[in-house]
Amino acid sequence: MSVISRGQTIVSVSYVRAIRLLFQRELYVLFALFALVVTVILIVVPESRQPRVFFDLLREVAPNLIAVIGITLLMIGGEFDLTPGAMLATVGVVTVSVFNWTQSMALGIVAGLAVGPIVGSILGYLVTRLKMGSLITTLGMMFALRGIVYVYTNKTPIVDKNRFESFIWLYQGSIGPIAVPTILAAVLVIFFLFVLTQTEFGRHIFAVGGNAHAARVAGIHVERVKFLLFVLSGTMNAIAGMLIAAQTGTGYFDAGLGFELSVITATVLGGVSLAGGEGNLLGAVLGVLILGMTGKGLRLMAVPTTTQLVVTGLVMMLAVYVHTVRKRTVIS
Amino acid sequence: MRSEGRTEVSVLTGVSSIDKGTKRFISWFVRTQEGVLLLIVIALCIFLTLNTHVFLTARNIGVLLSVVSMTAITAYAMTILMIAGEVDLSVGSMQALVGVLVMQVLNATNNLPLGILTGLVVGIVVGLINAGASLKLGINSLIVTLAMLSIVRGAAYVATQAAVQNFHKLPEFSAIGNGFIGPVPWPVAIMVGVFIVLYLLLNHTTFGRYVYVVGGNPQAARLAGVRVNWIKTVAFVLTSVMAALSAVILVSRMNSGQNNAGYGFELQVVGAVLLGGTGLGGGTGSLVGTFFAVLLLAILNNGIILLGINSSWQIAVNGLLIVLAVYLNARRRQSFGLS
Amino acid sequence: MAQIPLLEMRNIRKVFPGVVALDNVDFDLYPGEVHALVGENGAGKSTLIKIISGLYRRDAGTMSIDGEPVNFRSPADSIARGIKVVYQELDLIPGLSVAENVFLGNLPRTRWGAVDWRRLYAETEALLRGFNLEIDPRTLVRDLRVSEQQLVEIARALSRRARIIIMDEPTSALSPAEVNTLFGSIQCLKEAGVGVIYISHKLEEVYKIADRVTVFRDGKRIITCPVAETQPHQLVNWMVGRELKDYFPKTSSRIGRPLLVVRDVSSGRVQNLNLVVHSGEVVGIFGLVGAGSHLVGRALFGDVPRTGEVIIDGKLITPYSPVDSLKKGLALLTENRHRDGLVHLLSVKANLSLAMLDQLASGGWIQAKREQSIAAEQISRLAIKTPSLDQAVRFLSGGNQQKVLLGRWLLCEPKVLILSEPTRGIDVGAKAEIYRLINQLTQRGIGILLISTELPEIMGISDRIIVMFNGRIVAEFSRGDATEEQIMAAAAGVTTEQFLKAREVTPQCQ
Repeated sequence: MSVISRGQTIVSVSYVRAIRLLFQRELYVLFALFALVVTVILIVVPESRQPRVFFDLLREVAPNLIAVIGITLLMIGGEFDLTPGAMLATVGVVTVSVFNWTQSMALGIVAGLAVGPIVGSILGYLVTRLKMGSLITTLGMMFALRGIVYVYTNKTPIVDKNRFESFIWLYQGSIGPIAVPTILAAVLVIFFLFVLTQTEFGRHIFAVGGNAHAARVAGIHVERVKFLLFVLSGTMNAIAGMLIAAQTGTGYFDAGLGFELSVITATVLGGVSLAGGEGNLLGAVLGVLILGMTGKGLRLMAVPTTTQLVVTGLVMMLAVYVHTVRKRTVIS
Repeated sequence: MRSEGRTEVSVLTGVSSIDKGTKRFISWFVRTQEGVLLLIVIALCIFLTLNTHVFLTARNIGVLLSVVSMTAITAYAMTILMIAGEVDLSVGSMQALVGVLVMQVLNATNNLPLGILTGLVVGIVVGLINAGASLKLGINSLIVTLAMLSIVRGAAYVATQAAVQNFHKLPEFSAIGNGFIGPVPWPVAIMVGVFIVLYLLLNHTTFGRYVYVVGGNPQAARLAGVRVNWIKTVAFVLTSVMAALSAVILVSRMNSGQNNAGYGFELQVVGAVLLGGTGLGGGTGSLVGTFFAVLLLAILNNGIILLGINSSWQIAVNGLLIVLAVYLNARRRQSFGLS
Repeated sequence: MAQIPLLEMRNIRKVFPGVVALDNVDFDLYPGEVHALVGENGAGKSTLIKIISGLYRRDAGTMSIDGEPVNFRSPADSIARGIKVVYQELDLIPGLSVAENVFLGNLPRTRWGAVDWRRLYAETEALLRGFNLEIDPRTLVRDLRVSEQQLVEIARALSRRARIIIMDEPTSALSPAEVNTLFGSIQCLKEAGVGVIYISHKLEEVYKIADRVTVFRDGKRIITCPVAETQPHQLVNWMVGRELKDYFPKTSSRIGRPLLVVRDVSSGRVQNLNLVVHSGEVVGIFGLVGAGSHLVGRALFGDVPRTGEVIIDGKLITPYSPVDSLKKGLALLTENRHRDGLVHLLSVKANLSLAMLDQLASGGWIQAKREQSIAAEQISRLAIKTPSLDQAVRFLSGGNQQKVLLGRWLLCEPKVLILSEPTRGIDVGAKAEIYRLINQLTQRGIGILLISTELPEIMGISDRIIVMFNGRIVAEFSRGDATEEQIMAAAAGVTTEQFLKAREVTPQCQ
């Protein structure tokens, strides 16, 4: 704790403060971890020593990055969301179905994106108005959505009969050397990073997650903030789902199985507390990159997917453990 | 049955020709979660009997009861665990791992006790891992068991790529899942036995009392000399072992160990426990409620199939019921003044 | 010419299921006055405050500000009208900085809508300096001491240019010097025409700072007078409804052999603790919040790790093990019965028997009849008011809840009982009962270690008084040997002369 003596003026801190919020000590650990993983993979897996591999990685993790934005903000605000995976499937199916019904790409995209805020609003209502716990509510919603998608698609993928090429471009295309999804993800990440650290709304998220009573008494509309966060998360999930569907122009009923696990793992790895009130979006982004890199490395080594599942589970536990230990040493 | 965790049922007053005792009995149906569940179960049964000609047949009831038994056995133990304030999401993956390993051991040794013992040992080991990671490492049990869900499932896939067929053909083995003891199917008998033991454990022993205390206020429990970690560890192990027992029944009924068994099982079990009146925060819960909830879910799923509705609806319905259960729980917690 | 009251409330009524919280209550506040509100717990003070601040809606009655009728739907409405409440439980966001907390909901913005950090820190720093607070506004609230957090809380109230400030027990964590600073600021507020509603259990503060005082009891307003025209025992009388002559009934008892010997115990802030408690003796530990006195109880009992030796009647206790402490005859009644004492959903009976349940069971099977009879006996012995043994303990009043916990420990038949703030949050009537019980316990030969921040309590009951400051024992007095000033000076870590001097100086307005 720093104490300033009387008569000392404060150094003008606007820009220093902004940067300081972005780069805290925990981030250095994550940077180091990322560098470590990359180095290990470069050494162990010879196939990885091409720049194309890394550009591919950035494209592959773009949906994760976008979903992580919504989840991170929501978790800082003190709530959970287990629906990202189910949303991927739902949005993909809705989008391609509308393509097939209307032969209009615009309508399909609009419909698919609309699913995001709609589901987010429902969740927001259930959690803030009816005061239901977000963990179980989103768990139930996740299964409800999956079930509905299974029923509707009869467990078969929905293929885009129009073969919209511009739609596929959304995922496969590039502007210059950088993939479209990556640009989209970068823009969104930078924007929400700004919102979280520099705007009043962003600080309110910390308040609501840190001490909801204090926030309320300070005049912040806690329910409104949380509702918005759910809508936001739903929208981010929908964008991610759109990208996945654009990968092959198909709506898969089983898209995103295990997606929520990896997104939450990345968030926790990045330093977001499960209790709310603290966290760092950049940390979550690094978490996504670390997990993505690890997964890519495993895939290049032809490790079967079920083992990857085991690894993700282990990483999740490790991440939470490290985070918990770090918190405890700070307190004592 | 008086459970410490529930407020007293208020007695209806007023002039009436029905005597007080009967009134209290009727009000139980409407006031308590267990009563409401039972009413819905009865209503469903009537509905299905009238609308399908297959529901009330001996064969269907037998299948229904066996499904109920497998879920219930795990759900009873899960109730105890959730009263203590923890949860275990790995029970679904356990169905796969235990089933596969048991079948493999039976095929190799032709020894039934050894096979069953294997299953129970796996249960103990997984339970200890869950307890260790949650208690010693201090990670939320939801996260730990969510991760274990993947890890155990992965282990099942590592153990076998394809279903493990029954090569030992031990008759006692098939009896576990398909046989009868008198007029009662074995799974049902096992379920009843487990219910009785766990009910007595929860409501009449010091262990049971400590479970409620540990869930209600773990810090107070600790300061009163209760060994909190020990109680929770026992609850974790109990849950995994019961999951293993359910898995043994399952593998007997399916006659092969499948590494994709039990998908969604954890959802049904946790959903039933929540629907049955056990709170997410711990400190309160009821085995009877769990039983009625399991019954309700099973009849609902059964009805979906019998009525010819797309079986994928089962997942959706289960999910919606969980939402409903949490909603009811939230309402009740508000009246407690807890939220 | 009559002034228009800043706040006027008439015939306020608020009912909750089963209880009338406020019954036809009037209350008003004039600009520039400090109006104290006193009463026992459950008298309705906090309900009134929640109505004023917009958290609750009144069921009947009128409320007006500056003569205009108002109807608040939410705290935001009351804040907009210039009302600010400083609660007992600190309402700060630990993860945000001091500056962000002070201006929460009101952060200065730049042209593009981003937070103007430069202005934020400058304004916060100016505000804090005006309060004699030397805290870096960039510090996270999480990293502040409790007393600093409380002062930040109050600074926050001032930042809103509030016209009505309500303070609910604002000095619980403050040292005497800090209390003086607070009173100085309140003085400035008065001169600026702000109205202050001041809620406190500490009557000496009321006499120091308030202009008028209102007494609530059982949801009704009993009386409102200028403070200068009342005496403290009159206030107590109105609060309780009877004369409390024997407020601190102290009977002397035989002091016997040493039952608790503490040698060189250290734990966290507490360093090198050495003390002895004899049979039949009450040893009081007095210290301000932050002195570590509460930590002593936890360390000795084993709630937190410690080094050093703790010996109960000749037997050494394993550190960090409540199980061993209880077995060897040491019990602890903590200062926060809700957080670590009561199991709210369980019955009175189950809460009573909790610590000795194993004795009521054979082979793990609980003998219901034995539990029933033991619980019934304890209820009558301690005069616990409850409709039945099976009543969930959360329905009991604070005083009865405390008695249940006391009953729990007594059933363990301890040799030494540590009582940490045993009368916190309890009405005056129940307090007297607890003191009577403490006397009975000493008659039975039990040794009592009383840890409290209420000086009158410590001085009234203890045979010996130990004063702590900064984690160490700084003074020890025998009963009747010490004055209030000597004890408070020791607790503040200064000599008595310094202490007396500080009390006279009130900082000027800025």
